[in-house]
Amino acid sequence: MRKFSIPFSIGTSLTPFRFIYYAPTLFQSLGADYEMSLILSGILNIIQLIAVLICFVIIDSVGRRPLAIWGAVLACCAYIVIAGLVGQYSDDWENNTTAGWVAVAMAFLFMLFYGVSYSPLGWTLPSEVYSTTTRAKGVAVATATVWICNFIVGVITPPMIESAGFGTYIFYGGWCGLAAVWAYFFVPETKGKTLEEMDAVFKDASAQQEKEMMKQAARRRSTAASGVRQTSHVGDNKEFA
Amino acid sequence: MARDEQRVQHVEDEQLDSISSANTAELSPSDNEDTQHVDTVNTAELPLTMAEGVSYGKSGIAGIAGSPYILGAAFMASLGGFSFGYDQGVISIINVMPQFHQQFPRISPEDPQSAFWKGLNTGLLELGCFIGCFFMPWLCDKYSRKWAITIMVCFFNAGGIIMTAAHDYGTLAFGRFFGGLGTGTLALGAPLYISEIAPPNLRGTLLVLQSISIVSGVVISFFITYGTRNMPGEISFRLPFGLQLVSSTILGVMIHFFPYSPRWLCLRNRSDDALKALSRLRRLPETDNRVQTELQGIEAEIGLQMTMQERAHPGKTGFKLEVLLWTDLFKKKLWRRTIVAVGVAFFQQFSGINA
Repeated sequence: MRKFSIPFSIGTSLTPFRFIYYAPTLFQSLGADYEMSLILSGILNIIQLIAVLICFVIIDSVGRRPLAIWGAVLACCAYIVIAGLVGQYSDDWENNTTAGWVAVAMAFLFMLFYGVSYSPLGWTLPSEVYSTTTRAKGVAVATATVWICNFIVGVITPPMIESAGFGTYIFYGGWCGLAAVWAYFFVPETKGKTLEEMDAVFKDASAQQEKEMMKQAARRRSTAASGVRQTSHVGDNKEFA
Repeated sequence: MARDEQRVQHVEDEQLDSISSANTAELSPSDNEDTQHVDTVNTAELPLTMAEGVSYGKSGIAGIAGSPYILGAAFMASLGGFSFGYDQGVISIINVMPQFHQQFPRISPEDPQSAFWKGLNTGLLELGCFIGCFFMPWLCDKYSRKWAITIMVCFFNAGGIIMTAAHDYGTLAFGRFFGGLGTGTLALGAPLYISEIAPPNLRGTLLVLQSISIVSGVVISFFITYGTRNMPGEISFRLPFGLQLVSSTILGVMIHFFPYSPRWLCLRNRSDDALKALSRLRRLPETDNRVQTELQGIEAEIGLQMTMQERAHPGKTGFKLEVLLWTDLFKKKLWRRTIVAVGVAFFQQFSGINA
């Protein structure tokens, strides 16, 4: 009995239920003994660490946009498989150990996809997109969003698992799918750009009055800079005229 | 607008096109005057906007290996993330420790309300984090990114000491709330500082250090608590609580061995200091073209932003201006950026486990 309760416990705990706070408590409540539940939580943490290290190596060559799009797509796929397995076999894990272990594998894969993409991107993108005058406030709004959403997810998930069962996985899989759409339409590539180039990346400083000011600022600057600026000014004028 | 959208993806390709096809008749006389000055920049690399791309060499890991100084600065700042991860992880095992339950019977599973008290304990930490976020930007802009981090380390440490010494549930919960003010804002200050000191080719990699630190904090606190869980008595949870002061204190002190953010220095009109800081961070002489170009980009950008800010909110100062600047984040001019920043934060939480 205990033997089968472990895959089941991992299968359930891969909901975005706040592992880090509650993982040991949760594993315990599902039948894994105290020691085993601690070790399982430790393994999940290490998988996330490996995933973040992968992101560390690839982020400046792959870029932010592909990570945001494909991370969400793959995480969504992992959720769909888990939802299917849990929906089909959750009443009878004892006779479906293979399904149980596939669900566990998917949970680990989800952790990997998430750890390479949204886990680091959530701390990376906000500090890149704003200009210096608004950056501190912009990053603060994003960080405050992390806390409030973390709280909401923590509050709504436990009752949802009780009442909706595998629907919980579909719910969060849906958010992953939506994240992919959002990333496709809104996330620009910020790789290799200076923070000052973000105006060009976002193209949001192009209102008529700002064009004027940009011209003036460019002129002021060019007195301190270069002369073959001639060509760059031609470019500027075309851009903002 | 549609034309603008397309360009987001193809800024670099279009530079060449528009430069070659540009109509010289559009040149104003004053522009022509400017062209008399000395050339220092390769025109083929000139972007269309005022800010210019600067290339400091290889990107990613290869670049990091050649820039130990900037790596050190970013690593130091990322200890803010480590402290936050540690704080999160430490409670997960402590919550199921019998010794902890003995000291705080409300959290013990024997108490029928224990789920609520446990939830309140974590909830208060998050409330502290959330509130802290609205004070941090003011500190960051006024007293510098570095000093804001140090101030928040003081909050974090005070909370840590209260938690370590707590003998009843109320004190513990207060410690978590107070520490949360520091925890939440250290998680904010680190990426802010890192993004502003990093060269563009390494920025992503250095920012991921923050995530690595968070997850390492969770893992390390997890195994520390795993090691202390069988110690008899209070030490089993007081030791891991107390150890969280180590990394944060190192951060609060050592961050001052690294330069101020050159972007913050420019924001405070300290261009000379900004040049020195940038030259230290890039390990290049102050006269280097790339350092000069990057600094000019920063100055021009801030000059423009300040002018626009003044025009949008004429005559407003102090608290009133501060509030107006917050609301600006959700207005048309910045909405695309806010959708990205808030969106990624939202989906980080709504697509998976926190961290």
